[in-house]
Amino acid sequence: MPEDLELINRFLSGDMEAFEMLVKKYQNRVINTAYSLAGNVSDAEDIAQDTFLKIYHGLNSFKAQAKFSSWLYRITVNTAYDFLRAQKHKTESLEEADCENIRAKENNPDLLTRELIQGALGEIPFDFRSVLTLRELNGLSYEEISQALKINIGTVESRLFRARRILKGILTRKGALKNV
Amino acid sequence: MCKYAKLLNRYIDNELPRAKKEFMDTHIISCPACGQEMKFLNSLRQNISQNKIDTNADFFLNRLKGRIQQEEKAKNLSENFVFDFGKWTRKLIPVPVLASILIIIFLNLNQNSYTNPVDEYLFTNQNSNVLALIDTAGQQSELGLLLY
Ligand SMILES: [Zn+2]
Repeated sequence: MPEDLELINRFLSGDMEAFEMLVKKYQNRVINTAYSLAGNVSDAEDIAQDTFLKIYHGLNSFKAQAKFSSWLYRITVNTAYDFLRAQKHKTESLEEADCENIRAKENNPDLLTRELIQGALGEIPFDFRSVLTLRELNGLSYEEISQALKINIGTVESRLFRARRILKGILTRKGALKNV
Repeated sequence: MCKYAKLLNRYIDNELPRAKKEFMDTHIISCPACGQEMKFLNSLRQNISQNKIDTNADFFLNRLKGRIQQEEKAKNLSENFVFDFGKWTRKLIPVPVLASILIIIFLNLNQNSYTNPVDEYLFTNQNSNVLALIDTAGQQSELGLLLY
């Protein structure tokens, strides 16, 4: 697959196929980031669609000295933020029944489930959720998160630390963890 | 919570300089709190990193292309509409005639928009007894005084 910059230049000179290649290359990352932020498939796909539409219209203003993926992550996170705010969306909390299942396996952090964590993620502030998502799902370094979200590295570090502490608190409250 | 909890976060994120990393390598072996926290943080990472959905890539791309085409179509349509309107009116009606028509429409609208307060009163109070007393245009000014 050609480099991002090459695809961008080809698209800017009218090659729609180059844009499609960019979409194919990044769509999973964008959709899954959106899913982690929104908590459901349908919203995630809408956010991803809106993100790529913004990319399509905004590529001519993309500054080549920045990394395309950083720019893409920033637009994804901002689009998700706007989308969720517009919807006054609230990720569903976990049902009590789910917690009962988890309590049965209590005190073993290895048995945390994806559903449980997704539910808890929806309860933490968006700024923390986005930093945690970029780190844990997308594997970005502090430096890369700092560039993508335009915040300094110290803020990345403290948001990550607090996000994990809040998550742990929520999971403990739900009975999924003991002995914090 | 261990006093090295913040350091532990940077440790699992691989963001520590070498000396601090080596310190944490040995610390977590001897610190039960950090050992337990490591388990939690690793479990969190594993679950979030696997929290992915399967989407139909072709469907997604086609939907996106459809939206782009729709946007472009709407954009072209609005541009063409404005352009065509000017072009066709110029073709069908000569400019002086069009200008005259517009002036007549404007004057007419202006005239209709003026409402004498008395006419308005009479129009909206058709059941009033006052109405029975006057019904010619010439008496309207007197009625005006009467009503105010
Ligand atoms: Zn410790």
